[in-house]
Amino acid sequence: MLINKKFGFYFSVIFIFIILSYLFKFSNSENTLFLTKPVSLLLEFATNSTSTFTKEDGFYFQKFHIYIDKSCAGFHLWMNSFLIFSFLIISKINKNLWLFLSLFLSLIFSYSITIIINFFRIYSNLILKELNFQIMETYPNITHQAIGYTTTITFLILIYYFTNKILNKKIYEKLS
Amino acid sequence: MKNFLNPKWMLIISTLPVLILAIICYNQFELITPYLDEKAKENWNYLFIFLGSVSIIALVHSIFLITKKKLISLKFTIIHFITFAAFFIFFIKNMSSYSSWRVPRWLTNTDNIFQYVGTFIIPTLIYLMICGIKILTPEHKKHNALVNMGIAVAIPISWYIVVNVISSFWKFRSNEIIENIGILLFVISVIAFFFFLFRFFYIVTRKRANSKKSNKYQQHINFCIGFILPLLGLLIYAYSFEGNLQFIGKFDNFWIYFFTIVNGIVLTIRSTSNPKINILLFFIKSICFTFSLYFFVIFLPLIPFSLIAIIFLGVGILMLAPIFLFIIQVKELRTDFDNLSKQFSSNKLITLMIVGFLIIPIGITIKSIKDRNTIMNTLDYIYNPNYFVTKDINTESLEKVIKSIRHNKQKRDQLFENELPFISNYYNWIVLDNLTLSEDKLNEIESIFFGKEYKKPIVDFVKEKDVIIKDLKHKSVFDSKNKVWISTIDLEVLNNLDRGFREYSTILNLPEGAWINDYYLYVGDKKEKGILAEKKAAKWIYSSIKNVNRDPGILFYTTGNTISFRVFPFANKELRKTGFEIIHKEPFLFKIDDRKVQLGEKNNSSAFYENDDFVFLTSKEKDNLLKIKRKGYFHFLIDTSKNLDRFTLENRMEELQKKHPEFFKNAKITFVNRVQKTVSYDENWKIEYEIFKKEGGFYLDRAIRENLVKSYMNNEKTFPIFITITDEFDEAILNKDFADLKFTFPENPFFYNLIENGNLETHSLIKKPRNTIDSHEFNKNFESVLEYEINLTKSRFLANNSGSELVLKNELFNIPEDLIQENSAITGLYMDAKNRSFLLYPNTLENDWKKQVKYSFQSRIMNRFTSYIVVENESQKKALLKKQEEILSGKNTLDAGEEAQRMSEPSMYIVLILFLIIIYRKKIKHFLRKVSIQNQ
Repeated sequence: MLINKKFGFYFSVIFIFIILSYLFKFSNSENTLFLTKPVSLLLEFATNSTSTFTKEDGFYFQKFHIYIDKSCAGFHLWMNSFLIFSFLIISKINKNLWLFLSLFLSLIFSYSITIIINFFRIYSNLILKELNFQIMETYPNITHQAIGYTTTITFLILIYYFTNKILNKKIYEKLS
Repeated sequence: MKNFLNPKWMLIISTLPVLILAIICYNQFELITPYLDEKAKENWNYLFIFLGSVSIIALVHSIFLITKKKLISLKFTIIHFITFAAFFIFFIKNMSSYSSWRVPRWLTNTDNIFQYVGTFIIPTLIYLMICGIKILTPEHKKHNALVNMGIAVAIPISWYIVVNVISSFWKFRSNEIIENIGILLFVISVIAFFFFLFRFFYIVTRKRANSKKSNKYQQHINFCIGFILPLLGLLIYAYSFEGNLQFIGKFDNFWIYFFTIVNGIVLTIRSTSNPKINILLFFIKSICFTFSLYFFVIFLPLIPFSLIAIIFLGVGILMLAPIFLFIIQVKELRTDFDNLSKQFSSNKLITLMIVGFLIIPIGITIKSIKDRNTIMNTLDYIYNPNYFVTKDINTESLEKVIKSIRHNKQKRDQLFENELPFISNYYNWIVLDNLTLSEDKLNEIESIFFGKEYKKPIVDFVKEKDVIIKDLKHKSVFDSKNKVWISTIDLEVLNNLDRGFREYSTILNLPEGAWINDYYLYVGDKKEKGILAEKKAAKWIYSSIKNVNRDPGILFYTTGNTISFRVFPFANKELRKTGFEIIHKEPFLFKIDDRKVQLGEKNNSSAFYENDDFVFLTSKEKDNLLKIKRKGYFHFLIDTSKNLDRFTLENRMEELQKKHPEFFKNAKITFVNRVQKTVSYDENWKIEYEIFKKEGGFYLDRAIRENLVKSYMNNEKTFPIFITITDEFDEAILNKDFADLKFTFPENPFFYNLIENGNLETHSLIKKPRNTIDSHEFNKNFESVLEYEINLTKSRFLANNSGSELVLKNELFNIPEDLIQENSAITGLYMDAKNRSFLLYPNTLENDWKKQVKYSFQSRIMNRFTSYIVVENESQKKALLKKQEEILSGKNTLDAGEEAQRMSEPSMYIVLILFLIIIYRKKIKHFLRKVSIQNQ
């Protein structure tokens, strides 16, 4: 019975994931402002620079000659982390109310970590670019992707383990 | 069959293929969306909605059964069979509405949506049917196999009677209701036919499995299904349809017959007592499994239509042969695996099996890669040749590739796939990479390599006499910082005719050290500034805009320093304003149509410039150079595309030698067809001529270019006088002039064709080389040249005139990027020098041309790779930029100087997969260990 109840929630998470991913295809830079703006603000603060927003190109940082638009909004990361943390929470929790809340909480929680991870991803790229490594000049695309994958997966795993530990600890305390 | 009713099979057989199908359809849709009308887009939407609905319902129902731990029921099979069948029928009915005649064939890369839908939907229908058969044929009840076979046979016979006999007595009135009823009845018949046919086989197989007696007829059945039926099918197909029916494929390939025979033989051979022979047979069956699987997949979508073939052709039963063969193949492999696992480890057998499966795909891949190399080498040979390295092209492979490309270009009006389904797509993807070659290029390749008739390219430039310059204003200002003149030319152009849609076109000749820096065109009352764009993209958008009568203007280099300038359209008696800016190192007399204006004036500034890579010499520096007269020698270019009679050749050359013996010293001969070979004019040349293979076309363009470049690089005080010897000069492959290489022939801008009696016809190297210049006879008094010493061992020879000249000291060099600036003559000189380097080493062009585009953008100076174009509106500008992006294919080639970088995030799926692998790596390891123990 437990499995049946949770199955519905798992299915709902996947359903939300598919729908949002599909809708994302039709979005533009304005629709993804809720993701790009916080990242741009953090970058401005960290790099002491300013950006300008245009509908076509998103946020443009003249100092670094980069754009932050729909393709770098972090939407994919948000969806991935939403999927991962929803499944994690649903697997640990049995109460109905918390199962419902878990959907909402995972969405918010994953949104927060998306902003942070995305900011770090872009920031790392900028720092490494400033260091003028030859490989970044020769293979800019590959190095950019490598930095992206490394930061994203590292952060995701760390936060996953951390969250898993906290949830296990809470359940253990409750049971004992 | 025990676990067949487990709903998890539905996920594997149905959900996964449908998901793949949805992705393929969506990719296809995205690719062709710009070419579809609203109705077609609507039909696609319905298709996705329908597909999504039936698959989600099936998925949810399956997951529900899995969680409830229930097996598939009859209700399940009926409901989902009806929904999937309804989808398939819906798709077939609307198939022609998913595409448009506007979709270019090369864009869709011969995708066949029918093939994909059939391949991915039919397995679900078959699976559900088999589930239904299993449920309706319980083991505890007796079933007569022959009754089922009888019903199956009766269906096509009944239809045959209905169609052929009854319809001739009863004329049906054309009626949509009757038509739909007919279709429905036919669909039901198809389902019933296959139901009873499969049920017959199911009952027979079950009886045999239960009987425990070994089947003594198994080898005969294998022989029949594995050898007779497929071979018969191929032969009838070859005989009746010439081995090429559009909606199936082209099966007259040697390898298909080879594998059919080999597969038939190995399936027929019994296992022996020798384990080595058995394992060899097992390995061969594994190789042939891929072959059987391929035909199983190809014929899967045709299963519902096989009934039609059975009714009308009788031998249509052969369409089901690949299905039966696949079943037999799987059964034989399984039996062999079970038997061999007693003597060999399972891991070894699995490895052997997987290697066997991969042999054919790997073979196809290797062949495709080889063909790709052939076409790329061919394109390099013609368009980016290395004059100093000889490369041979596999003409047999080339012929096949060309055929495939032509085939893709021609079959644009058919929905169905040709050639070998899936394999052709894969081949095209590897070899052509969604590339297409223009008709001109294909003709050129076929003319050069296979001697086909050379179709001279259509000359694009046609000057309209009635559209003329009414007024010309100019202004020149000297920029002392950059030491360059900036001259603006403002034109008023008038269409003198009462007819509209005329075009103004002209040719400008700029001297060395002068470049176009800006352009504008008035569109209505608005002055539109020109966009500097990649040349191919600009020319493409100019043509497409012209075709819809909008307002473009364009400037681009043609050959040498010649620039084509066009403005379109001119309404009746319309006056239009346009203009451009030229930067130039020295003052010069600018000519346009019949107008001449002096741009700039003499001042104290010197235009001379020198660095380690090149030098720009003005007339003042040239006056100080040593004047010499080099010795000319005849360089014969003999047409070896046909077998010219050697004695005729000798006679002509002897006659010429009588007239001009002085040029025969150090003479050379090049045998010219698709390849060239150069020998000295001595006694051995006749033997060499006889040995040299006569094939291909008379590739005169390459022969002259290569020898001009080699002569230039040889640094000798002699120069070649090219003499062609051919009976069909018109057939020579000579599609452009040699004005680009003018610096390599400072003495003599002509070449000659040797005809009877030692007479020479004169042709120009600079302009229209195909035409004979009757007014110019061979003149042995050649101009002297100026020697510029680069160092003690290297000199270059310049034309003895007052014009400025660029001389390369270093033929291979890189442009220092910090020197790329706007309005900079040094940038212009560097780009010209680099262009000259490309002319000497065309093989370096591919790696470097994008940088030249970038430098042109950065400096705003038009070069041989860019164009100035004015477009009318934003959407045209977007189309231009999109096209340019496709051609440049990759923003990172333009770098930070032109294009800002986007911080794109990593792929969602790859991140998820990597994450899951890392998190669950222990569980994955444990699972793999478990599987390995179970197999042992």
